[in-house]
Amino acid sequence: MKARKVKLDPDAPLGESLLAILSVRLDELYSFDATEPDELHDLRIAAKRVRYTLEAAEPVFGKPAERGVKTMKQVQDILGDINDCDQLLPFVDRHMQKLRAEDEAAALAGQQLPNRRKYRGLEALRAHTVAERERLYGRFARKWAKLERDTFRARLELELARAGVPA
Amino acid sequence: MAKARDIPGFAAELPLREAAALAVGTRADEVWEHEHRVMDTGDIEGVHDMRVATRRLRAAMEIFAPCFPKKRHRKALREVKDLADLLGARRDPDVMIERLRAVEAGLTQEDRPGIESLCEELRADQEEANRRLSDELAKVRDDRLPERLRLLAAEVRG
Repeated sequence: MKARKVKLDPDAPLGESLLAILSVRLDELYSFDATEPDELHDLRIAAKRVRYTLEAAEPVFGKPAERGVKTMKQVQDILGDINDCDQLLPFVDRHMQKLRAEDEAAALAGQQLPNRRKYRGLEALRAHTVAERERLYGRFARKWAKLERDTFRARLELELARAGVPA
Repeated sequence: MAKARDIPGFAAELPLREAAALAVGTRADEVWEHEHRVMDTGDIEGVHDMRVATRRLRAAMEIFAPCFPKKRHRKALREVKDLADLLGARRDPDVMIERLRAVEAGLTQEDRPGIESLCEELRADQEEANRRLSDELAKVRDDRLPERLRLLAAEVRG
């Protein structure tokens, strides 16, 4: 997912510019449906961009930005672990395909199958990974629902705006 | 993971172009600080630290993009992304092997040969990634990316 361009004036104050960038990045984050498995990858990338913008904003806005980074990191960590499972499953499948091809060639040549002891562990790994993904998705759904209940976005933007006003 | 360095003078009223110069200059310097540790396969944190530093540099370059000359910024960002991808390709197998070992610990002896064969494939991928990363680091130096980034940061101040 390509990040939306934010029109900025290079001579504008940093604080104001960061709030404008953050607003667009939050729009992107909330444009995805967290209940749609196909949208999780883009949601993860969008969460990453919100986090990085907040990290840049930390020295300017202090605690509210820091809390935002922490929350986004929690979301991103769960989505990252889900992504790891999504990467691992096809990797295991490709590996098993390769082993099967080697075994078929050996069988054709009348030799003992070199990989016969390997399938069991790979099947077990696959089952573990599918279960782990389910568990992680449940954790993510609960976390996301909590952010919505806590009106995360509205609070964050309000706190940042307050922190940015000189005393 | 190495902590991001503070950027002195980074304040709400600072003009964006000044902030861009400070942020990109500081984050670029942080990337090259870890370079000497990256090819040491005994120091797996070196790769991680350089990857995190490139991630921070990329973020700064993307956030402050409107302040930089478009063409040179795009080229430098592309090169930083390529470097980050290769650091990722070098680091990801470490993470995956760690994950496989954790699953393996809960399995029986009979399940181990399958997991081990997958680890072997990952280690082979990692060796290949190491070679590509070494070439990329040499290329980045030849193409004077660190100097170009410093120059970009200095120019943007006007």
